[in-house]
Amino acid sequence: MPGRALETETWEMLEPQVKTLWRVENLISTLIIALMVGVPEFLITRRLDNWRVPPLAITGGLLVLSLGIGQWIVGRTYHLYRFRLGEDDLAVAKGVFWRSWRFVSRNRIQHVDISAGPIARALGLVNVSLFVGGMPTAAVSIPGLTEARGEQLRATLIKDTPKQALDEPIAPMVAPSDSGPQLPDLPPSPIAGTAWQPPGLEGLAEIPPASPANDTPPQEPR
Amino acid sequence: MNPVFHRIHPLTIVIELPRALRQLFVVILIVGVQIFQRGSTDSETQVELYLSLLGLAVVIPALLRYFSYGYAIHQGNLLIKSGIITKNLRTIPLDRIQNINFKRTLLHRLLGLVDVQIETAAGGAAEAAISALTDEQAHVLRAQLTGERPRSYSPVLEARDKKIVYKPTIWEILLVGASENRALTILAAIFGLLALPPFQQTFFNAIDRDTIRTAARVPAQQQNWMLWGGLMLAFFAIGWVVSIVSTFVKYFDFEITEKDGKIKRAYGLFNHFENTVPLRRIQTVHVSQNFVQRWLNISKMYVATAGGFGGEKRNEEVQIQTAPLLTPVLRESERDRMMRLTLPKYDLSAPEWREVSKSTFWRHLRSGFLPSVAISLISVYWLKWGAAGVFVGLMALAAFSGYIYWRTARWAQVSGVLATRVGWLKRQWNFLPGDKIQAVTISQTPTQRVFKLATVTCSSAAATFQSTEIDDLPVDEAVRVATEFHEVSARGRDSLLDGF
Repeated sequence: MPGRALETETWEMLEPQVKTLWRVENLISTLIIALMVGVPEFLITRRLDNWRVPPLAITGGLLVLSLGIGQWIVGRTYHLYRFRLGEDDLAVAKGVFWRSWRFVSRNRIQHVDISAGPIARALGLVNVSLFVGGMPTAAVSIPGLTEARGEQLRATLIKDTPKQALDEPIAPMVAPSDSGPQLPDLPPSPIAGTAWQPPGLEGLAEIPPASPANDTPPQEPR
Repeated sequence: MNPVFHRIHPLTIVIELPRALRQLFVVILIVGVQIFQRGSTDSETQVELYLSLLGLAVVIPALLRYFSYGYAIHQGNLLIKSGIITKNLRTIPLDRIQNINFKRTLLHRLLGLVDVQIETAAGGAAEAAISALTDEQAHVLRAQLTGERPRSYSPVLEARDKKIVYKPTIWEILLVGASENRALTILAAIFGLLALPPFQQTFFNAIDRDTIRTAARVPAQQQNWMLWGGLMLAFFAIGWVVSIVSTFVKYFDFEITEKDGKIKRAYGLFNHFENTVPLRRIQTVHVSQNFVQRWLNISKMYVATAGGFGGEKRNEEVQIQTAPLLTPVLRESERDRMMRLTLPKYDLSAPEWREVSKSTFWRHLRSGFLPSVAISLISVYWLKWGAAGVFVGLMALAAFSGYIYWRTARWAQVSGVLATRVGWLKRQWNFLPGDKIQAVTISQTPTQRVFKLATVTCSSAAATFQSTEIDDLPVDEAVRVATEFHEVSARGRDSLLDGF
């Protein structure tokens, strides 16, 4: 629950190694920006006669700015990025200037992703993202967890999800699964030979009946 | 048991024709020019050849589509197979269907056919577009999909059983058309048309040769403002008429009927559209009203589901209305009744509207300060001391928007529903039931932090009007509201599972 104001001091923090990850990421993105700005700047200013600024001044400035702000902000971001796994929800607080506290109920989770890039893998970190209905991107993501903690988090988040939904009665489905549809068939198509099976699809067509309330994707063994 | 696939109607080929012709527009244009340029008698066979080739190019894809497309209902799933080289079988569990649309263009109506669009929560576009079926096939299919006892379709029985819940008069539909202006839409359409290759050339040539030369010769005094004023006025008058006519044509014979917890909207003079939504699928209700409509005591009402609501078809050129409009015109006296219809579990008759924090005025002023300084500093270059005026003007604008926001923004918690109202010239209401909330967010900008304000955002699974937010609540209040709605959402079961 969001209660007790927005005090997040007692919430769980990320692994400190995540700072290294962010610093390296900032360095890489800064270098890419420097290349993207530096090359055109060099090529263009070389041809200008009345260009009195020292060569690559703009790129240099950007480099210093991006590195300075980026490296400074890592510490603040780490300090303010907190999460809390509650009884039936997950809360994530983040942001340095623009701050946000997001609360997701466990019974709203559609699926959970665990991902790790090459640098994160080298540091032994994973990123856990949570998806809810209607949001195409992750509703909440927690970077910088150890692999074990990420795994544990995913297990706890997913474990109870379908149970609650299964406990409550579900609206009756149209065709009760195995008995086959008792509904009369559609009126025949004007062209004869409606019972027509495409040559390549025999195997595909045998689809298991929809299971009514199991929203959670099967957990893959890792 | 293998599923039995049904085919679409053979006359689908006729319906596909205009679309295919549109796709081949450029080719047809080139062929046409060729034919005209030859012109002599000996090219007649060639003309025939061209035309027959063109005909084949149009008919063959339609034929292929007809022979490769099939749909079936099998063990609680809707199966749709398509494709010749790349085979595709789509399986949609029936209990995941969000809404079903029937669409008939004029051509469909002449042939007695229907396009059926089936939407799930997966995205804005229709997940299945079955084009086209006969009226009877379509109605039986819909009955099977929505779990009604399917019987053979008869328009007479249908008419006897239907229960009209809302039907605006023709006068009201004309009125709503008159309360809006399509001048900007026309402008966009004209520019869009000019961008087309055949017009582009002529247009820019014309501009080069005549317009600019003439304009240059006319003395400045004669380009008087009255001419421009008159032109503007005429333009808006045309926009007005177009708005009235198009609204009338589009929403002719609009009616909402209700049956077994599902509402059905049907409308259209030439192109007929029918849309079925289960009430339980409704995520958010949105009402909007511009200042003219406020004076006329009418408003527009939208309901958003997790699927689109007559959204555009993916991979197809046909695009139809994407806004989840429930009714284009709603009498003020009917609003309570329609709210009860669309959100039946909740009592929204007397929301206790509350204001946002008064500090929002200062927050707006402070938020506007830095941009104002920046803009006026830049304008010093041209305006010298006039830049001070720019600064004062911008700050006045910020103050005005802050005052207007404080005066107009309202929110309420009423029987577990979060209700908000914003807007001055155009007023908008949002109603989001607590058990449809997917996530609750409290956020703070740097300026909001200074004034101890916060924004509460409640997100739903709706495809449009996804989140309902209250800007500039005092932090304590924001935390309280967020906590309460989060608790409601944590208690309730995921409403996305509520089916037909």
